[in-house]
Amino acid sequence: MDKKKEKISEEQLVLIAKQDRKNFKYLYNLYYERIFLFLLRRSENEDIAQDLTQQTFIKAMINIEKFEFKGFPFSSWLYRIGLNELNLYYRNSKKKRAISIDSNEFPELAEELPKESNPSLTYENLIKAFNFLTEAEVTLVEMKYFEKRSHQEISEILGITVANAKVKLHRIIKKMQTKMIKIS
Amino acid sequence: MSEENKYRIRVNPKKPNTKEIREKMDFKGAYKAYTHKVYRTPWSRFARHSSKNRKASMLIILIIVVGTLVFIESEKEFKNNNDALPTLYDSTKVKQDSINSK
Repeated sequence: MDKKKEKISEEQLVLIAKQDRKNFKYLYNLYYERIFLFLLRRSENEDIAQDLTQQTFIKAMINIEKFEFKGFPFSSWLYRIGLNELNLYYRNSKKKRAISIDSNEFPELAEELPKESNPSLTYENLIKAFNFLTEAEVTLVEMKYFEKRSHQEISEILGITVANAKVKLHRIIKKMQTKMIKIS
Repeated sequence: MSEENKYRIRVNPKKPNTKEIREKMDFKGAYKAYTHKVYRTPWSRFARHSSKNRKASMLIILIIVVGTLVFIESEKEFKNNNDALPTLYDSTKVKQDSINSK
């Protein structure tokens, strides 16, 4: 049954979920893993990521009537709800925001940093430079360089234009470069 | 918070595999929480499950009730204003004392 439903377009799945929330199961099965990993990267542990993922889907089920297809995928809407839930969690708990970095992802970000910062470009300095970024800036870096999302996808999730996403990322890279030189 | 330790940075954290994630997540739990959240008040049941006709008639009843209350209140105020008419100053009335003095 599930495999049959996956062949149906995302738009149809949303439509049947709007009619009966029990049908939301198919959207849940499609996206729970991606949303869980997205939130796990940004939260302290698996239990918190699990809670936030469930909360994301509950909010999605409550508000699915408001969702309309405007050219971007349903997953972007889910990611946005997830990010809001995460921000709410950190605001209420007053805990430090977690950032997960895979050492394999380091070269990708290092490549983007201008060559002038090469002497200061060490793994340690890069990690330190993150502490000078705002949460919104960290989110952008995570999406672009760690999760390898396109500018299009980033703009859809954050609700900004593609040009704005590009400009913001460029500024963040510049900021990181300056801070890394300062640190070293 | 100082910029030195603004974030909790984890390098190479352990990632659960698909099977582990599947064990953690279940739709039934989310659906149960959803129904509990959505249907916990009579208002939410009405908002989600009543027909358009029922909602329209409820709106009409609400308008009538509010309208009646406003009308009663304004009538009361009007009556109060009429009961206590202010004494007007009559400029044609001349005091007897002032005539005698002249």
